[in-house]
Amino acid sequence: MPEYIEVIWKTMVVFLILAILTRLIGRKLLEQITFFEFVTGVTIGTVAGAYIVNAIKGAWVLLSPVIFTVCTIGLGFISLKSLRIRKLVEGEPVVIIQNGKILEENMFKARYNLDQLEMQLRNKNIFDFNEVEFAILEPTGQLSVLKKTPFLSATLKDLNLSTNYKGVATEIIKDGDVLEQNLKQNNLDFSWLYNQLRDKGINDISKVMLAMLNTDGTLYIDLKGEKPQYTQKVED
Amino acid sequence: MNPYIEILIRTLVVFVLLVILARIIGRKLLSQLSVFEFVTTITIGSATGTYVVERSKGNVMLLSPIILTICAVGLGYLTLKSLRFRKLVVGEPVVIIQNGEILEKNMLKARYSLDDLERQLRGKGAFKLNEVEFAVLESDGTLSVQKKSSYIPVTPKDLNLSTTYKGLATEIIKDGEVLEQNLRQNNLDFNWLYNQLRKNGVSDISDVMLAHLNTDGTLYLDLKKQKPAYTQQVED
Repeated sequence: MPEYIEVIWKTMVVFLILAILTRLIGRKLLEQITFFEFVTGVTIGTVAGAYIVNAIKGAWVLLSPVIFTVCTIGLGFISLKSLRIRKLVEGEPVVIIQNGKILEENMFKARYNLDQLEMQLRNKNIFDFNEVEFAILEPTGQLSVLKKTPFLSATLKDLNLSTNYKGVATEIIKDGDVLEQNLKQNNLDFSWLYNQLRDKGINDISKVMLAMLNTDGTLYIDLKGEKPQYTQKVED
Repeated sequence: MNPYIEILIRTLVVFVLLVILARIIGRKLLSQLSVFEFVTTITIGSATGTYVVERSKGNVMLLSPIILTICAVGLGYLTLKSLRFRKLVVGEPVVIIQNGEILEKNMLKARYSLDDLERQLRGKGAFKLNEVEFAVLESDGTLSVQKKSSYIPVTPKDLNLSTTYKGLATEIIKDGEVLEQNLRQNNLDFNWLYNQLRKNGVSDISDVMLAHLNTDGTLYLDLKKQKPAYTQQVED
């Protein structure tokens, strides 16, 4: 077989396998990936790359990425089921500031220095240590901060104001298509939708880009072709 | 040895090794890794990947990921102990905006353009430069922004409102298991817990998914079978 044809089909096989395996491992943005997942990913990538490039090797090399994926998924299930294994594999959050006091010992154990602490506090818009009640270093390297109550943003509860319920808005129309199931979930039907649209002067559903039903009963509607007077021209 | 069995063994060895090494280095997210840690990770991954593929090379190759991990951990301790060393390895934060004035010289030194500045300010919700008092470019490339005090969300302190103390909630029950240590820390016992659960109509602890004790003495309870009328169906 000519070499270039071999490279083409080998690459396609690897692409397909990687597409399936990564889907099985789960959907994640690169920035959400942990060190372990990343290092596993590089290993899988190296093996798959070696399969394409190294002429001597047989297809058995491709077993390795499959085994890796099975192990990763298995470990995920085990740590989901057992508290103890989860602690062992994933580590646990470390309290860095407690009641406004910095815990040096915990910082040392977590190999976390003062510059990092200051940086992550600044990132959370905290420029004054006095405002911090608790700071916890998560196993993922992020810092979670609880401010002292006088320094938290004032909420409606602080002001003793009553509030209305607010839930997640439901998509009713998307790209001109009505999502029937979502209508039914809210005990609404097409005649309700038509009435709503007619009230807004819309007689063609396909002209609607997006319609969302808020939990207070109002409707957000965006039409296709609706535009402010000036818009940015995106150059490509 | 049969190549299939060999690849199975080699992959399993690498997997276990990576689980252990990743646990030692810490479960950081990729977005929290420095460029140096990123490169080290790729080196570890490709070394273990090559070990799986290259049948000719012996187990000596696995020493390399271990040494890299030791070096990474050692470097962490060194930077923890010495300020000067930390500055050298990690770099230091650069003030980009001070008292509302942009510092061009610092921008030049940090090779940081106005477009970068505007992008990261927008990301922090600061669309008007008038609102910015301080902006600091951190050593990991993120921008910390302190807005002028009149543009910071209102806190109870600004309004002279009194607040009640708010600390960290304590986990009491997790996955149906009582965390005894946390009960004792709060000078509570099983009797108290049973009474609380009975008040909430729960007769079996294993029915409880999660119970949190808030610092105001209230209990957050989530039962395993509790469900809203409609739930999302996760397709896989």
